[in-house]
Amino acid sequence: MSARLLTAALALSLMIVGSALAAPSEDRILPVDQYTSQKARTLAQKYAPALRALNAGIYHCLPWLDVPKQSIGFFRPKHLAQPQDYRYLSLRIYIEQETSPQFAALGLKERASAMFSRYVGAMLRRMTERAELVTEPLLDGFSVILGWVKPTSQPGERPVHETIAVFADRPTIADYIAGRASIRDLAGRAVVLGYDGETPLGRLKIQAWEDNFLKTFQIANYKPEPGVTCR
Amino acid sequence: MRGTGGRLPLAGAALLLMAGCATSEEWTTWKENPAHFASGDHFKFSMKNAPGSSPRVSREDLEAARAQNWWGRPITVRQEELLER
Repeated sequence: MSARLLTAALALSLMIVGSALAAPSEDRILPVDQYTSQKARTLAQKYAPALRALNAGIYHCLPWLDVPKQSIGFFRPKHLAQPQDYRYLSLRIYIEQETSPQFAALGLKERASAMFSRYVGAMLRRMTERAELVTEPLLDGFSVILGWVKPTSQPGERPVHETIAVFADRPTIADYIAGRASIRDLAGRAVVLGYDGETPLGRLKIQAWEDNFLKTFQIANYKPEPGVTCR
Repeated sequence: MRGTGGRLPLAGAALLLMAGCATSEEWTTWKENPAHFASGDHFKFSMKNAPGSSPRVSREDLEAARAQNWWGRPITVRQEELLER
């Protein structure tokens, strides 16, 4: 009897260790006590499960994307008027991809348009899986920050990232998620700031199109952890 | 006097500009073939699966590959430049 219990306990502990190893790190989400306003703390507490689900979904289902530490949260966009406490649900991701001559041949604005088309809509849909966020009166908008290695970066050298930071107010996102606005409309209404490494490029005019890459692409032989369902 | 001397630098500049920009064909390729750069070789790592077994790539394998391919902290815009807490 005790041997059976011991075996069961061992099996259970192995299962717990196994699932712990496969879990995404929670340090991707800004802790509640790191916010500087009560409005942000309220949002962070109320939607903590939604932020964890967003983090886990990207970790398990889009494993070529890397979410840096403290890159998911209810941040205040710096470009907006101060001292208003505008709060945007923000997600920053770094996109890992193989070098591509076709992609490298595009100009920066075209690369930005391509990345916007591929990732921004898909990330916004993930960020609004908890539908209540789209109507949350405390929330002012959403932002998606995308980074990728500049094509001129060389292996072995410190990489330079190109970055776009996309900001859209909540009504714009509500229209997009409800299908009242297309990705092209979203690109026209959003503020998109570009960066070459650390150098700001100002506001970029994005040409966007529908891209279903994330619905169809899978890393060869990649299997999500047991119990994880990817849509 | 009105030889090609003045036109050559212009032609060279035009060629450089063309080399630096995507042709409409390349742009169309990107749009129409959205998976062209993100192949199954996204990450370079060795398969540790036994011969005969169906290969399985786990999240841990991808993390290991990411660590191997890490070239150091990237030069990128700091979060503080974009967002406040």
